[in-house]
Amino acid sequence: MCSQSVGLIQRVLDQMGIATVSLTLVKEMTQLVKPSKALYVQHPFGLTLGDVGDAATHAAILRDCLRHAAEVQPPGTIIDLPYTWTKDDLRERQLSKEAH
Amino acid sequence: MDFTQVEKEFIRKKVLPDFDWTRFDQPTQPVPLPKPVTQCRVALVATAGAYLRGSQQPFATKSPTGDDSFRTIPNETPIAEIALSHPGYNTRRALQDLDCVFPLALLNRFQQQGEIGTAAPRHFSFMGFIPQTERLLAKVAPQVGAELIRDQVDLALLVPS
Repeated sequence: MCSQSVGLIQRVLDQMGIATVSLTLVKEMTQLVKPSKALYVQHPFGLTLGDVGDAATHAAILRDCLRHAAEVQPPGTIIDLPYTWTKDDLRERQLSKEAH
Repeated sequence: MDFTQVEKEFIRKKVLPDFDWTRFDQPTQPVPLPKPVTQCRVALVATAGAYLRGSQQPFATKSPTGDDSFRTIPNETPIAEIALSHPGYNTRRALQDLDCVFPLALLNRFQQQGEIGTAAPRHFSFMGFIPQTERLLAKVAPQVGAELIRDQVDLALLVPS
């Protein structure tokens, strides 16, 4: 549900004239809410920017946020970032509500 | 079945029988950055449930209607003073490295490295389980927007968990 809440807050900030960019962990949820611009990462809930201690991935994703924030894109664009979770099946289990 | 359907059925069964997603037909318009990123003041708006363990109340994690309040996190807050309350993910894991969900230390490193202008003086924290969204949209998120404007923030970076 976090990705819905982020998208809703983002919509309000967009409408107040504040430049925004968001991450999303659930693309389908963001497609319902339609904030101005979101970046999709296929990481587990609670590890949005990457694994504990994975400073390189954290920095790469933040850098992607800044780069895409500066780009002009059509309203509602969701950009697929090239990050997936290969360590274990945590994300799959979360998506089927077998883990949190 | 995609996750929106799985999650909707889970929430309806566990907490709110009439739950449904908030949806919009039209996207909001992007606001252009007013200056290069390397000159921008950047604020975090994150839904990981971060709060100051010594001076702020944790978010309500047991309520079926969630918690749409927010906490203000000053930029200079020592990372060890930040705690997490959220029912939807393993907060103990993220507490080992707050940059996973609330990248305050990372944002400040980017400032030191010249990748952004400055980290904003305040960041804003929600707990993302907010199944009833009317007040969030009409009142609470606009309050955060007003604070971001007051802080002359150029870019809000929104991070879910």
